[in-house]
Amino acid sequence: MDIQLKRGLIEVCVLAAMLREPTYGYKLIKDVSPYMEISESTLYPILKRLEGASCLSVSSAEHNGRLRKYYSITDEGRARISEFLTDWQGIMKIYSYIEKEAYNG
Amino acid sequence: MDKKHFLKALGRALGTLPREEKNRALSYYREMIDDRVESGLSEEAAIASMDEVDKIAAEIKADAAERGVNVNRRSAGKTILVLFIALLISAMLIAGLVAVFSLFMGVEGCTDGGEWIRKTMQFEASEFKDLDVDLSSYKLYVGVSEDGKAHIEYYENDRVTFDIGAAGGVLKIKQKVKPLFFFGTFSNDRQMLLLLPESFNGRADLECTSGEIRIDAVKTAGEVTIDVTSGTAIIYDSSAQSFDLELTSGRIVAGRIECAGRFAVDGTSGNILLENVSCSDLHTHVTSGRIELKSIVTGSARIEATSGNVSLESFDSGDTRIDLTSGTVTGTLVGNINDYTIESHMTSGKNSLPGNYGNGARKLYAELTSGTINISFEE
Repeated sequence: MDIQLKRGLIEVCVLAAMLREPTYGYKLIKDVSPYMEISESTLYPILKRLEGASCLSVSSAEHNGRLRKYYSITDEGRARISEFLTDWQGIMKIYSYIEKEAYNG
Repeated sequence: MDKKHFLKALGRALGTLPREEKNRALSYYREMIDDRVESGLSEEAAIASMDEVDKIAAEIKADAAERGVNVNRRSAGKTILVLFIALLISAMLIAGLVAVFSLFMGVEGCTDGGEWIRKTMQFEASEFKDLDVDLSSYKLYVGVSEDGKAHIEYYENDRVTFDIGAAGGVLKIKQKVKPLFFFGTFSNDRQMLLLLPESFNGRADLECTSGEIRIDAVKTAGEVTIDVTSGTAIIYDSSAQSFDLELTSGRIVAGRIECAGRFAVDGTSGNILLENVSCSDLHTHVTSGRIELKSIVTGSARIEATSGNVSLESFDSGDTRIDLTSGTVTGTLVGNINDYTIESHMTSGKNSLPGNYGNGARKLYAELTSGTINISFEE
């Protein structure tokens, strides 16, 4: 898969994984990895980029006697997901056209 | 490795990053280990399940550099301390050397190259097509600029200078070092930052005698050759017509590489780690060392070593030839054993592969004089 495309997909995937509730790094990896290949070293710059783009906010909370960072999606993050969904509706139309032509042609 | 050692090693590997960036990365990895341990793993297993320290550090630094953080700048307090200590040591060294030299050679006084001065240069994309870099002892970071121009940022002093210019369609960068007294040069950890315009689509020849070459997110239809005598070459998220990497001793790490043609790595002694590389031909050779190949997709592969260890993971090749004098070959190949036509020869040692087998479309040839072949198939 194209690297830029993969990068974009993984960012949206990470945002989607925090839609229900604020989440932490290890849980993000567990939640996303069934769908996309992700490791802690790929997640780290993604979280940073998303935070830089104000798509998520970070807070620390105590957990079992230590601090854990929790990531929550922001309005910008939600907007990013809706944008992705709209974009892909268009792409899916193109996909079904290409698929149809490829198999019938 | 336990948590303490892992974090210490990571801290060291991140050495020159600003303290804030470093602390952030360390606390992220500390949390990752703690969460894995909480889910039932031992510290060792938790660490083993993560990427290697060097790879983690390389990604963090590449990302920091991409965001414009100077990966070699230290915090002000530390800089002053380091400068002070360096000054003290160099003063003592120079005084000592001068004393010794004036005794034997009658030399009086000398300069150590003086203060480093930051310099920048800029070229329009239209001024060059190809790239030619020749460094003797320096670090080189090659990335992509955001404004469509080429930017070069580097440090010079009285002894270390650069010839930089675009002529005949080639951007040439050459480092010139005046020798210290009459013998040799000393190494330095200065870095040149070279950001290419996104439209760069030519050939890149990068040479570095000792030091480090790092390439991040460079996409070109040209050929890329890298020559490192002793040092490290790290390439991530990049694509080219072909990659030709050569090193005498050191380390080559490449990840997420797309290459239309050949990806060749040749090392005398050293380690080669390739991950997520797709190419038409893969050629890796070491005289002694380790070759690790993970998630590789290639039309054909030739893996050669005089003495060494080869490990393969998710290895997808239409035609694989492995030639080792002594060592081990372990790992997994994609597909089913019946997808392959196998021929293997082993003079002494253990061999998990049949001597002659099958009639599959993929070819696998392995020859080992002494050692172990332990290859399995994913399905």
